[in-house]
This record gives sequence, C-alpha cells and structure tokens, in this order.
Amino acid sequence: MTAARPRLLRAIPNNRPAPIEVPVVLSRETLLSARDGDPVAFAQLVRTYYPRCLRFAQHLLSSREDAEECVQDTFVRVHRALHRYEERERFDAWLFRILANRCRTARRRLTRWSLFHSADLDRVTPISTSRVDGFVARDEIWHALAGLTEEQREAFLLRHVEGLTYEDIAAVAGIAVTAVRMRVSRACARLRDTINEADAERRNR
Amino acid sequence: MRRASIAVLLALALGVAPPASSQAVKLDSSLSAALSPTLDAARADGLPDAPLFAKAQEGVLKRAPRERIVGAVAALADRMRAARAELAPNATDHEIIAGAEALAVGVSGQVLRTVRLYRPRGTAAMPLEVMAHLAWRGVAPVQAADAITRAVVGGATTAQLVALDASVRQDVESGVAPPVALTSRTRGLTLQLQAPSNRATGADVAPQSMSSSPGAGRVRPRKP
Amino acid sequence: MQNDEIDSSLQPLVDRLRELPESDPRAVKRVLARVRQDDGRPNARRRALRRYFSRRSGWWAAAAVVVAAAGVTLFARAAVQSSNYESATLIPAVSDGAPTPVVPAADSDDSLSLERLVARKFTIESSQARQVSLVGDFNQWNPRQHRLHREGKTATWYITVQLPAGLHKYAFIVNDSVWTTDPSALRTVDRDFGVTSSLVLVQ
Repeated sequence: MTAARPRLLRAIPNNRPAPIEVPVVLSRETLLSARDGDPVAFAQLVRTYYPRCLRFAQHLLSSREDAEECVQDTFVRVHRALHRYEERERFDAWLFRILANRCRTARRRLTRWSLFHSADLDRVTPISTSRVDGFVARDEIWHALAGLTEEQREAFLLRHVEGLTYEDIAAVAGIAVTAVRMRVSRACARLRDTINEADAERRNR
Repeated sequence: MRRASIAVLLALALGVAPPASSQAVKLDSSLSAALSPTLDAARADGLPDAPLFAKAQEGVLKRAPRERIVGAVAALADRMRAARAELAPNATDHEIIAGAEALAVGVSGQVLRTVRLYRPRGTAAMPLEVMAHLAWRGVAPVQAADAITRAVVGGATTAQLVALDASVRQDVESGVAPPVALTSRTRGLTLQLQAPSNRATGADVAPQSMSSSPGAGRVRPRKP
Repeated sequence: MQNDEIDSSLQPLVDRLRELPESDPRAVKRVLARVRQDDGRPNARRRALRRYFSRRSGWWAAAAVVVAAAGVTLFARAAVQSSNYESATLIPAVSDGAPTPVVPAADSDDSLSLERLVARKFTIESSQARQVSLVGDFNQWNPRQHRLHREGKTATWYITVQLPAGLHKYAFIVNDSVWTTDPSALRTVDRDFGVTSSLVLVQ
C-alpha cells in the first residue's frame, strides 16, 4: 500500500456515501410505519424515492416508459418485501438492490437500447450547441453511457449518482467490493477517454 | 466510425474544461508527498482517512501554507488515535471523529471513557458532538462535558441530548448567557429523567458491557 | 493506477446524471394503484398476516387504521417534524426554586443515534453573488460539489443537502472567491488555519 511515489489525493472521500440532494427525506418513523403496513406512510415512501428510482432506471434503460414500468414493478416488490427489511442496512441500499434487479430483467427484454449499438449511429442528428456552463444534453449522456458495459454502467451510477458505498453496491450486484471498485474505475477511465477524445477532436478542427 | 461519431457529438457538447477558480480542490504533488507519511501511518492504524483528506482540502481552500496543513493533518490524526483509545473497544469511525472533535475543544479523555461505558457501540458520537457544540456556543468545556456526562449516566437518550442542545440555543438566541442556559436546561432534563413514569420503563443506567456486538447498538429498556 | 473518483473532466457529466426527473404525481398514483391491486391477489392475505405477526405490534394495526383515516395531514406533519431542527421537543428550563414541571416520559428507544442521513437546508442572502457554493467537511471542502440555487430574482440562495447526523463545519464561497460564514449559524475559531467556519449540529 505504501507507494514509493506520492499518491494523488482526490477531492471526494473514499467509500463514504457522497451527499446528494433529494427534495424530501423519509423519516425513520415513517419508514417503520410503512414497514408495519401503514398505507399512508407507504405512499410517502413512494413519493420520496420515486424520482431517484426513475433517474437510475432511465439511465440504465434509456426509455422513460420502460423505466417507469420498472420502477412501478420495484415498488410493488418493495411493498411485498418491506416487512422483512432490517434496519441493519441503509434503506436506499436495500431499495436499490430490488430496483437494480428489476432493471437487469427489463434490459434483457429491451430492444430500444440497441439503437446505440447499431450502425445507424452515424445518422443520429447532431446535438444543439446551445449550452450553459457544462450542461450535457440527454443524448450525449446516453452516448457516453453506451460506451460502458452494463455492469460498469450500473456500478458507476450507483456510486457516483446514487451515492451508495462500495459495500452497498457489492450487495446490490452480488460481487466482491474489489470487483465493484474495478468496474467503477474502468467506467471512469472509459468516460474520461470518451471526453478527452471529444476535446481533442474539437481542438483539431 | 462509431467512436468518431460519439467523439463529434461529445465534442459539440462537452466544451472546455471548467475555469480554474471552480475546479475541484486538488493537492499538489509536494503537499501530497509531505502528507504521505501521516496518511499512510493513519491508514495502517486503521483510522478513517476521509477526515484527514478533508482537513488537507480545507487547508488548501483556505490558502494555508504547506507546513500548517501538514501540521493540522498530523494533529488531527493524533487526536483520532487518542479518541479511539478512549472509546475502545470497537469505536466506529463516526465516534472516532466525534471524539477527536471533543478532545479538540478541551474535553478530557476521561469524559470519553465515561461516555463509552454508558453508550453501546455506535452511540457515543452524538453525546460528544453535543458537548463540542455547547463548547463552541460559549459554555466552558468542563461544564459542557459535565452536563452531558451526567445526562448520559442518568439515562438520557440521544433525542433528549439533542433537545437539550436545541433548548440552549433558543435561550442563547433570546439573550441568556450560555452557561446559565445550560444550567437551567440541564436541571430540566434531570427532572425529566427522574420523573416517576420514567423510572418504571426508563433506560438502563448500568454501564453497558464492553463486549458489544458488531453492528448497530440499540439501547433497549430493561423492565425492572 | 486505480482511479475511481470524479475529477473535473467527469464532473459536468455527473452533474447532469444527478439531475432528478420532473416529478409526476400521476406516476406515483399509478404505483399506489398497482400496489393496491397486488394486495388483492391471493398471496396478499398471507403476506398481510405475516406482516401483522412479524412485528410485536398489535397496536400498530389499530394505529394504521387511525392514520389512514386521518389522511394527508398526518404524514405531512411527520415529514416536516422529522427534518426540522427547530421543532425538536424542548427541555423545560428550571431556575432555582421554581416548581417541578410535570413532563412526559422520554422515549427510551435510542436508535436516533444510529448512522443516518438528514436533509438540511442552507440559505444565504447575497445581492452581489453570481454563484454560491457550499463547502464543508461533508463534501471535502469542494466548491464544485454543491452549488446553491437562487430563489427567483431575489438575493436568496439555497440548497438542501443530505448530511450524516452529527457536527459539521462549513462555509459559503461567493463568486468562487469570497469565503463567507453563515450569519445564522455558530462560528468556530479555526485553530488550524485561522479562517473562521460555520458550525451546525445535524440530527
């Protein structure tokens, strides 16, 4: 672990869940009420987590309709399994485990994602150049994510968008923590390559 | 061909690197090198390194000279070591960080040990943070430590300690001197803890077993 | 070399990925409708019984009925209370010689101390600002991570962040150049670097 040359230190802490913005937080009391069968509390749970779940599913499935279907599926399963939820685990890690499973299943059925793997890519219309401060348009996100494998995409999103710890992600994906780190590293490397290529391309013009 | 298309599309979109002033706070190689021994030693000791990184980043952002940053990170690592020793066995990362903060404001190691005796693994952090918070508000560290320790020994829950902190804040904002506010609110809490209904179902006041199980520590009331 | 963190080249992409989709209340209604449908299915009764017996809570079932009957107002209030520092139950102040107040017994379940994230809103007034960042020990003092939003055309900037419960030091950076403490918060003396930060206890 002790390297001869100095390690480059990063701005974001290792393995601590990155703080994220959510519009509303679910209180522990409401969560426990929902677990104990209170339908009003469960409605609040759905309202709180729906946007995050939809965000994740959309990035994985690329189609809003499929993502919504997947998220609905997830909450039905959450409702069935909630009484088994133990507080040892963070709730969102538990929730995302179910959601990721549903997304994987949905992806196998999916045909629309193949758009990004076909030769028709050349004929995709260019993105509008009107941007403000690093804004990235939707199609560019899909193109960037398309360069990743499914596993890398899932791991990257769970880590850097949903803010789960490596342990959480390992539980979600059913693999070792080291394997998760590798997937996230590779995802970051691939995304950086893609972005650097784009920069280089622009500079050469 | 596909890569070129992606490149073109992204080229149109992603634009230039952000201006230097808004870039992520980075550590230059000489600072990284200077911090390496401290960070490596801390990691080898099993201390959480995120707070040490954060302290370094704080120093960079505040434009502190390199020697000061190195000194501050080393001092924090030492405090975390000391806190962990006092909060043994099995202190969580959060407890270690909270303990280091308490030590920094002048709370003694003995106080940390006492809190540990009465709070199972994972639950010592908040009492220590309330102590530090009160000290920053203008209460003498000894008084803050004394008040919170007595409350903890008396069976106060974390919610009650947090409520105490909120009450003191309210008083101070109304113009009451912090030590006076803490004294009167502590009395109120003591009465609350001693209330007959509390005694019947109240939290266990005997010291917790030192060999607590891993994972979350929940205080369960013991019926007499 | 393993490099699994976000640097400045990836930040715009991650920022965009983090944007939440517009909330659609009908979508939530659809979910709840499906859940109710699911509850009507054959396994549902067995599951409901399992739920009933798996917790010690005979009275939860009764409470659930009451809560359901009470409707919207109850969980709305719960949502406010759970994240509102000011509404924590207060401890009575007792000065010398005052009569003993009668107070309800404390909740002896101490699970509030378990690690959890709490939403905390930070606001600052600044008419000079073109952009404001929140920096603190929870985001490694990184001015790029939490940029505040402006409230319409006012001078009010705000952001809501999920923080681990506990003590946090923070400050605002205005226009990428001015270090500003929070006028509504406690100030700390910075023994390490001599630059004052703000302090908040989140629970």
